[in-house]
Amino acid sequence: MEALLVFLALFAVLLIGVDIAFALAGLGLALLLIGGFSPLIMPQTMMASMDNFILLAVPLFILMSNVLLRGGAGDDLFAAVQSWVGHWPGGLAVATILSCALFAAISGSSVATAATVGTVAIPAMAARGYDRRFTYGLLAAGGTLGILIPPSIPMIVYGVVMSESIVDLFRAGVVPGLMLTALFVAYSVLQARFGGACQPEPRADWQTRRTASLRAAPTLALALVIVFGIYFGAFTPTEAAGVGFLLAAAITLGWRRSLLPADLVPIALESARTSAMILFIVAAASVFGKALTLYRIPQEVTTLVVGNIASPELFIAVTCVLLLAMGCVLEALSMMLLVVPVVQPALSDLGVDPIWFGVIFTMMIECALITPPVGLNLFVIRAVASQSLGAGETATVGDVVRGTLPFVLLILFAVVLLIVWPSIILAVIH
Amino acid sequence: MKLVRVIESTSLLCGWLAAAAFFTLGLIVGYEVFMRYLFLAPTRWVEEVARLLQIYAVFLAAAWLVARREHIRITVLAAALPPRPRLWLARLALAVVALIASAGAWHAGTLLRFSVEMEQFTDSTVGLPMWLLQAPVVAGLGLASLQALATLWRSFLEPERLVEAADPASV
Repeated sequence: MEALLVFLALFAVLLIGVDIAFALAGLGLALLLIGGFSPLIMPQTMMASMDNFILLAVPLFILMSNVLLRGGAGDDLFAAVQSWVGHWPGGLAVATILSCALFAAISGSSVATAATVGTVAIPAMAARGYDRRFTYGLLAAGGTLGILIPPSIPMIVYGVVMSESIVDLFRAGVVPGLMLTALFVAYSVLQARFGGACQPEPRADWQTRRTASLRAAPTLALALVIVFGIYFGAFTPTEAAGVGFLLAAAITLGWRRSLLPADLVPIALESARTSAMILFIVAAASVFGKALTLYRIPQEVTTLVVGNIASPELFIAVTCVLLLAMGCVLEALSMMLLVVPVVQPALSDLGVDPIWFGVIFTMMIECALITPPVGLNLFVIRAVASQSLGAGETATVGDVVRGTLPFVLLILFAVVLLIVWPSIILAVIH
Repeated sequence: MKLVRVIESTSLLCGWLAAAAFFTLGLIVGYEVFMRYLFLAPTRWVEEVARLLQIYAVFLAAAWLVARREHIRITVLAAALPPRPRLWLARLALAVVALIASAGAWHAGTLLRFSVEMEQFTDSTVGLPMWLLQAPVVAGLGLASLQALATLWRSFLEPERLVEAADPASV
């Protein structure tokens, strides 16, 4: 009952439009005061949550992907992939998804992935006669690969909150990421063959392929350095992000000369904006989480869950349904920071592997990013499409929503596969 | 009005300082890895300084984001309302933000005073005074509160700016 009242109060504050971070910190403080606990826990917890070396990976990966994004890495990747698969049925759509998957390996953010690839892919697909809604849905969904294929910012935050290995989470995200990419590619080919009247791209000659691949090679090499550097223990995810940032700056400023030193100022400002937005919510959520723990709410929830749900699979399925509903009204990261501390004790009591749960949680966040009315990628793609299509043509959020529906179903299908066969994830980490 | 402009300029300055802190953080973490692998000379200060920079950057940027109305929030209800009620809802939300931030700044100030009186230091290699880590929380939340009040004040002079910021399309 206490838990229900706390969450109702939170939703009331959020609904009037109070910034999520302040709502979480404020409600946390109110709970501390009502429960007779020291209010000094609030600033102490906020500060302590930021005094964390692992979390540094978040601003550093954001800096790195912004440098690459402004330096034109998205264009290079798209051009390279397009030169190889553009002539396939639905080739441009396949190139878009593969570019998203590749960009995901250097960016931990779905918004950055969708915006970067969208800027080049939307005009190209529009010119080739692809269905508008399919194009928007493809980009919005393709962008979500950014948080499943490592590095992933939500996985870093999940690992910090759950005290789990970020490296294990990253390793566990690879196979589901590739599986989802394959599902999106298969759907794109089928859609092009049976659903759309798009014109195929002419096959690129070997010279074009060579030139495009060479231009994208430094970015791909950077992705490999990061991924293998982390997997083989050469550096921690935070250090990988730091090295990635310096290498990205070296590639764009020195080698390709696609950026000028002055361009680093807007990059730093944009990165600070996104990083502070995310990390301030993390700091505030830690106060809320602390208050919940002091009220023993996670334990109450665990007793309720363990008493009524016997199998881990059923628990995960129920959680997924809950997340699907929450994702329609809550921003993705806040959803994670609200739910994870509450269900954490139940996971261990039911014997649910936290890494398995983390990957499934991330995939449900992917759904939240493309479901209305607050799915962030919907707005990003609408904005990018309106900008890219030029005068006279506008994209509506409704168009994007209709386009994303098949992809939401594909993500849910992949989630079901992972629930039924957890070894798809667990075999990689154990 | 002059006070409002001073608050807005301070928030903007803090935003730039936060950006500089995040950027420096990237440079020193990368530097640490290169020093370790290329010169076999790992540093002792990078980890702690990087964490300190992160605390400063996050809390200093809080007011800047309040000024730009860029903290993430839910706009489902606001989007369903006509402009005038939407404006008043945005004002109510700003007042709540100001209240929460000022309460947070107050308690952070109490914590800082306690740390100074007790002469607390971090339990680390560098051993920084604890108040150095707590100061940005006081300053950041205090400025965020003032900024929320300044934006609220400005909404009575230029209401259209707040209505535009409350538009869900700006997400």
